[in-house]
Amino acid sequence: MRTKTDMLDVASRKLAPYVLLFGCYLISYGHLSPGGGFQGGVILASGLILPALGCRKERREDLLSNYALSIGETVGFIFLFLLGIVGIAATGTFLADPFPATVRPHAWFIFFLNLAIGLKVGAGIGLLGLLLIRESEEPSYD
Amino acid sequence: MTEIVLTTLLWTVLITGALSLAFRDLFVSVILLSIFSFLSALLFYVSHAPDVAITEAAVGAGMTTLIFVWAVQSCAGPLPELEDRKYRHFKFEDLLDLLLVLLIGISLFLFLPPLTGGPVSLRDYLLLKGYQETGAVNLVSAVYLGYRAFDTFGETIVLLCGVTGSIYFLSRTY
Repeated sequence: MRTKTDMLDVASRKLAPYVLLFGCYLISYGHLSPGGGFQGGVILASGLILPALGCRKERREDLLSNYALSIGETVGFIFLFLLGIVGIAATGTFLADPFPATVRPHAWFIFFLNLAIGLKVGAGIGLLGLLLIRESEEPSYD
Repeated sequence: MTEIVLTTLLWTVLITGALSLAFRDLFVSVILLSIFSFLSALLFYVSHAPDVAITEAAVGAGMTTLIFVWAVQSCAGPLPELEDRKYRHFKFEDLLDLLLVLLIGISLFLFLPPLTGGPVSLRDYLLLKGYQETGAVNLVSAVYLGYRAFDTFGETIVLLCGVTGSIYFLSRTY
């Protein structure tokens, strides 16, 4: 990043926390308002990529390590799989709602599914975007 | 009012899509496609589909633009400076392609399923029982995480495989 304009600074640093907050809102309120795990996850990923676009190349590794993101994606997928197993244990069907219908408010299962999918999609797409940014800077070697 | 907005948006989307074909510089085309996606998101929002609008804005205008910019930057060399012109010259084959796309669009439009019977009864069932059976006020979430959670699980596995393969190809040493 040779030059740093005000526009880039605002778009990358000042806007990114709000984008992350909006992603969290979409994930956690997916059962009540428009949104959900996939949409919120992709917006979380854009919130992760924005600061990486604004900062210098040397600082990018300190910002967010690829290892943490890959762990996040794996944990999200395992969480989703465990939710399915819980469905087997409670009712005998994979990915069935384990909470009894008397629990109020009874969208807990959809809430947890949204959390797992949001974590997985956000970490996966964010990792992909960060790798693309780095690849475009050093095209010939790793 | 809604009809005027819808008509304006539809024509703007059409013009942006056509313009993105006309430029020689691929970066211009990518940015025009991003505008195309953003306007499509507005179109979905005006047509009362906010879930699809959020997806289109996040994936179409955000991530796809990033990936396209990366692809153009890493694949395309500098433009050949043969003539100093901005726009493409359309050949006969290009016009044939456009005609084929137009024909496919018209035929898809002609064979739309009628809005009676199955779809309508399904919609009425969801409106009546969706909240009671799944607990989700947002009926889109009720369908894809309540009734069709297994499909979503498969979709997640497909996404996992896609991201894993892309990461492998991006991070290997040459």
